[in-house]
Amino acid sequence: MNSYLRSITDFEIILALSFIMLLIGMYGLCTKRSAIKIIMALEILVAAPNLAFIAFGFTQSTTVDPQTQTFVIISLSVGAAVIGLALAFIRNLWKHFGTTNVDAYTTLKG
Amino acid sequence: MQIFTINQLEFIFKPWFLVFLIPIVGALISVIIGRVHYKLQTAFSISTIGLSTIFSLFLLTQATWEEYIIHFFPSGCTNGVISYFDTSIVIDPLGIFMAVIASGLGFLIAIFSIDYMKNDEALTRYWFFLQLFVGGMVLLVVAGDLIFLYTGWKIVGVCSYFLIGHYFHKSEPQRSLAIKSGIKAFLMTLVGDIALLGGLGILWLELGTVNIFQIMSGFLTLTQSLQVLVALLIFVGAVGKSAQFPLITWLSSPESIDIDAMQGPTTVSALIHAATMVKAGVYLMSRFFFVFAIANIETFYLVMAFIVAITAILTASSALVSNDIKRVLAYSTVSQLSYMFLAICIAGLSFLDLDYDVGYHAFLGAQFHILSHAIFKALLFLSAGAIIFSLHHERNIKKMGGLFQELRIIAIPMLIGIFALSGIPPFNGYFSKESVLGAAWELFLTRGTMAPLALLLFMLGIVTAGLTAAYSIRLYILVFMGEKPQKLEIRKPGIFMTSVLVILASLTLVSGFLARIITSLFDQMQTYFYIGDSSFSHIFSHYELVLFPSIHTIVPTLLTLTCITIGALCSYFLYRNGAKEILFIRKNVFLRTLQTIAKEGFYIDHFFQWCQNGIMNIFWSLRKLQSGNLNYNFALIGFVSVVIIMIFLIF
Repeated sequence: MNSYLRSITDFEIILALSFIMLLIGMYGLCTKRSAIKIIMALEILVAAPNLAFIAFGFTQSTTVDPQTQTFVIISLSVGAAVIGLALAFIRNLWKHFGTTNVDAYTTLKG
Repeated sequence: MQIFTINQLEFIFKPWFLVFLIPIVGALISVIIGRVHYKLQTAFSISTIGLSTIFSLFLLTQATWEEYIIHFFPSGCTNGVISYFDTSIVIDPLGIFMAVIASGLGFLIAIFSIDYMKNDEALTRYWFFLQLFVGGMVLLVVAGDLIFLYTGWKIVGVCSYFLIGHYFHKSEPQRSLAIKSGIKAFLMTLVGDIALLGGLGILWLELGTVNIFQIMSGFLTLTQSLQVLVALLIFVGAVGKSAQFPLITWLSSPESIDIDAMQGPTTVSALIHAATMVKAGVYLMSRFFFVFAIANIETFYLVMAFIVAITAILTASSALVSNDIKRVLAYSTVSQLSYMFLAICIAGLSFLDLDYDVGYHAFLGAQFHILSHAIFKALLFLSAGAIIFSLHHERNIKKMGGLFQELRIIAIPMLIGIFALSGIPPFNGYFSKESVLGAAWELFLTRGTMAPLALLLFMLGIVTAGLTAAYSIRLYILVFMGEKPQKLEIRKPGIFMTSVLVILASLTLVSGFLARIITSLFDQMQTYFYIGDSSFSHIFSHYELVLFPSIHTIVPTLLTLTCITIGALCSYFLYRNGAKEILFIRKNVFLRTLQTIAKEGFYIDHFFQWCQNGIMNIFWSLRKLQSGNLNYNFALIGFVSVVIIMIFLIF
């Protein structure tokens, strides 16, 4: 039924992988103290829907949808810019607070 | 999308638009002139408002009930995209009549301000917003489409906000009161404005046009529930602007809170918060009366009667016990506005009963009361302003007294205003009040289904008339009669002040006899009903507003006059010997409690403050959710988003 994936289970495996990456990202966001590690977790979190998006592009019976891949590439390039910005923020925070431990950043506490 | 040719562009500018363009453009120019000299600025500002007055008086001679519309865009380009912005003005007696009141009173009050605002530090701001207000008000009342209507509606709201907060540059207690009052007025009228925008938006979505006449012809094609919804939303807008029942407190709040529109200069209170802007709500209900009345929306008029009835009684009794001279007048303004709504409500109820002539009579009464109330309330507020000016900003009437000898030039015009407000015969307030109450009585006499309600509204009207007489006589006696307190310095009011007071007092005397002119203006009113409903075939007989009671209206006249006399005499005998406080009220616990409740404005404002504090507390506790712990916040965000997605998936 599908010329690119051997069976529908492959698609499900990729979706499951994407879901696991989402959970890993969430776990990292909720537990890690270091700002750098939080950024890494965030990137894993963002990669998960990208993967799911690509997988959906292969579900059509005859062709691969090129639009999904286009969007994912745009998303990755924007993500790279966001990481640059985030790292710049972290560097400034490190200069200001003397640490990258996010527990120290409590100035905006309600 | 049409492309303009040069030939069409020439016709975009139409001289009719000058009636509101002169004050608005003048406002911008006056700021530049203020750089040169402040006296030049004053003269320029007064002359622009005066030009607008002359223009609107000229338009009054041109006004007809025959769809006399001036489109902003030339007729060749009113299809395509432009049709959504088909702005126009309409030259009909209903709007131009209000325009004459707004610009004419604006002109007199601007002359009064020459003396009153002489030593003000922010004259440029004052004149800018005064002119912008007159322009916006004229724009609102001549608008022939929803866009101009709502633009004017918001312009006058913004001017009101800035002029209430005019004294924000003063020292502390006055400064924070002015700021809070402006914000309160703006926010509370915004409640009405949003409802009005909703109503107008529904009309536009359903009928696909902004032109008022096309809306009138299409209104009956809407479903019944939608008609009621639109009518109620527009009425909420009118309630916000005219400070009716739940939203009274932006115009006059109890003395213990003292955050209301009376914090502005007294000239502003006279022009905006008594004579013109607060009547925009009444004007709006009159403008849409032609479709609401023939649409048979019974629910709407019952709601209106309920709100108006509450407002009239509550505010009249609050005015009876307030001690601030401006606050008494502000409460009385709200009460008199209820009278106008009452008249429109009676007109609508008569149309439900198919008594078209009674409805026409009540509608005329509303328009007449707009005119006479604008004149005598402007007179009263300006007299109050002159008194405040003479006494170096003393506003408490308990600290005044015995001013008649020294301020005779204020006392006599004010007495005329007080008599007109009470409804004592030869003055204009008597005729207009009489025509409103007479219409209610006529509706009762027709024995239709609405007769019991009409009788109830009539009783309410005469009780309010009695209370009105009582508080206005009390105000006058406390200020001008009795003994003069020792340490009361008095300075003489200027020549501009007194001349304006005299002009307004003579207008109060004369305008009661102008009823004939008003009736002839509104003679051809039925043509507007034909637009809404082509099967409407009633022709109103020429109605003479009665100047002196005929056999037909002798009963309501006598009842009204009895109530007025009782109210006035009670107040006279209680306060005539210079008593500042009534002993038997102070001794009786029940009466004293009633007095306190009325003095606190029936705790409406306290209720609003309580709600405000409650909402603020909720959000102060919500902010604890931002703990400063990043991991915890991430977990919370994740949890909340999962819950939201689950809810969407389940439903």
